[in-house]
Amino acid sequence: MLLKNILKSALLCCVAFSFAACDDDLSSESIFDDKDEVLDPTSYSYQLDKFLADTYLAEYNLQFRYKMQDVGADMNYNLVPASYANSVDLAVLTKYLWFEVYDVCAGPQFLKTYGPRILHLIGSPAYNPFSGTMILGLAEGGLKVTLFKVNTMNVHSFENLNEFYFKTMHHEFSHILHQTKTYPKEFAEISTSYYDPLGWQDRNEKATASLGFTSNYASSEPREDFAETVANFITMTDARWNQLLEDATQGWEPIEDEYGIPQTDAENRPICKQVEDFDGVDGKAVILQKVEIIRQWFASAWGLDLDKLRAEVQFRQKNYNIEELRKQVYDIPVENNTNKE
Amino acid sequence: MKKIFAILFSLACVVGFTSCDHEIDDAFDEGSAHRLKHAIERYDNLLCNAENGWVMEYFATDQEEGFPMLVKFSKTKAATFGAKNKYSSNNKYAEETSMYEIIADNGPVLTFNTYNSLFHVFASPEDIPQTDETDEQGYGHDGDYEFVIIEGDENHFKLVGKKHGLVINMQKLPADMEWENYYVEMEALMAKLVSPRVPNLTLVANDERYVVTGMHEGLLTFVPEGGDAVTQTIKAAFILQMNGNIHLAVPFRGIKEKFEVQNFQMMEDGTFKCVDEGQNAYFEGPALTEMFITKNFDWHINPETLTGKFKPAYDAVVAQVKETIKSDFKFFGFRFEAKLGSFAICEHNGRGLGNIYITEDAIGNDGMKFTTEFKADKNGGRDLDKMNTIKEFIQLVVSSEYQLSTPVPLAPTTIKFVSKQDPNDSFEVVAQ
Repeated sequence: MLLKNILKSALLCCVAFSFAACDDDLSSESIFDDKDEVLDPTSYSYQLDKFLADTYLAEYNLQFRYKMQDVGADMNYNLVPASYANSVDLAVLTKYLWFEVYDVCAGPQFLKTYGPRILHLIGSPAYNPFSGTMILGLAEGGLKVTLFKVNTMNVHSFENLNEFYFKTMHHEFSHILHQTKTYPKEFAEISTSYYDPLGWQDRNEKATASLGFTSNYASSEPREDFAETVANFITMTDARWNQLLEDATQGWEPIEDEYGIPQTDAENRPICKQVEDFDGVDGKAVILQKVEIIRQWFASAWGLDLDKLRAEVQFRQKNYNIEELRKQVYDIPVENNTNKE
Repeated sequence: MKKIFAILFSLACVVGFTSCDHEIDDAFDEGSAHRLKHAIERYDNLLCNAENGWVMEYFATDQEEGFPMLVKFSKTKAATFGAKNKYSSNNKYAEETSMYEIIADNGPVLTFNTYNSLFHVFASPEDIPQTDETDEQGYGHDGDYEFVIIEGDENHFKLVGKKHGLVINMQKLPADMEWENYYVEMEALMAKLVSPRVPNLTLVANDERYVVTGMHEGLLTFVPEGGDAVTQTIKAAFILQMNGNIHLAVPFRGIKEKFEVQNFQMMEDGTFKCVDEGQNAYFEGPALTEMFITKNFDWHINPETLTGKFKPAYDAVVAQVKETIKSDFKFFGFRFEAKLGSFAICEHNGRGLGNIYITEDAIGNDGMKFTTEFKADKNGGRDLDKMNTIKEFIQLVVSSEYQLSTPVPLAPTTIKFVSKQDPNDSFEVVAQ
């Protein structure tokens, strides 16, 4: 026992001695450059950087990345950065149409806790030539949401904003939520026989509605079905939602030419004609059943009222004023008048 | 017990002294992070200190023509681009400001990190030419917008595209060069050096010869003389620099890969000679005799260039035409009369064109003589009969052998004829 203690003490001495003997080389200066953490009021991007720091970083611990570094994206795609002006627009719109919606419906703590940590903007789409599709958004591990095609954003059309950005944000955030708390198993069992992971992009959206999906992408797999149902329910206007349910009550069949080849639209999807509903699925009932499961899950798992969330989104997307929203950025005082509106 | 203490004491000493061994010299004065930080600051200062900006010799790929982009950097992290090309600006001059940064990545990396339509069009994934979204291949021009800085000083930066690896050079733009005027001057320089009307040049590299086309289009196409244009064509993008030199995006190594040429310097005589170390190569234009007797051009004698006996002979023609038919004589020229399959000296007396048929004989690559029996078409015959000065001028032309030369060897649309019998007698012809 004594020998062991001696050995232990001696070893500790050796270690302590070896470290103590070398501390004269340490520099007090950090090797890490932290100057970027201080915003430069003369910087070209000061107004947006200040808005992002105050609105997203300070409030939600979220980095809103609009200056692109390709290592932050998939290097297998050719991509370009978002423009500064469109980044400003998307920053203020994201606050109004996404973050403030959840603040109102779920309280300010909700997105602070469950929201993504990084929002990454990319100017161009990411094309998948083999499937003829393009990626509109990505949610990686619940931490990072990437939005594409920012440079062709039309801020004056909420349908366009929804199609490419806000539906995508709600979709990707739904993934974050169900990756945090699993959604009910019964949701995945409703349409088990009708998913098509490889050929969904070639399906007509009226035909997929008839099978009980809110979009053809929803028919790819259960988790995308879940996210699409949430996003479409929240963002679709009453007219579009009712049209979806109406389409879902009908049967749809591809139109073929005289040689039996299906006719396709500009996006290479088959054009369908209305026929008797022969698929044996009550599409409208299935969609409403899925919405009800989500409604219950939002309430029980998150304390969120799905209908209130939808109403808030609907109100905001019909009543936003982009000129007013932009002022949050462009009215920030700058030195040397470097603002670029 | 004593042994144990002795062993432990020795061990402690060894560890202690070993850990304090300061004998190894540092290879650098600073740690790597500090060196990188200071390199970034140094490069940023150099970029911003160029008060009128830089000429970025941009290649999206080595298979697509290169374009000079003007870019000025500001300490505010703004980067203003100027461009005039078909992809960036539909061939009109345009400027646009976006942002840049030098980041610590694989060494210092210059990134243009917000979208600039003039510049990022070369990195955008949309197909060229445009296709439907469902048909997009996602490559576009395949160009870079992030560049590893290899080296840089106050006059020059060497960058390498981070994704695709192409070398991009930036040259400091002279302080007094107005940006839009830069493109005007470069277009004028290009027009002076090469001509779309002279499509074929020759690259002579050691003992190999290549037919070169596309010089006026920014993308060179090399085919070995006598080779197969389908299987042996090699393309190489290039940029014409401010000093008139030609820089290829990547070295051209030929079919046999026995040489490697990339940079050509414009010589005083207008030819281009390779200046890469150990290379013996140059571009040459077509033989002047071949150029002159091509049936594609009419050549007009420039009366301003007449010397020796030609000057008074021509003046006499002008005077006699004025006196005889009350008209202003327009020109003498050389042309191929397709109907008769014969060359002719043509003369336009102000009212109509006449042809006097001649034979053109090439003497080597740069010698020429003419013969004629004064056979002519109807107009030409009438003018020969009415105005003796026209016949005398033509007689003067056909009475000499000529030494041919040109001020623009790669685009010889102007050729000077100097009489071998009397070097004081000369004239220049201009391709029409």
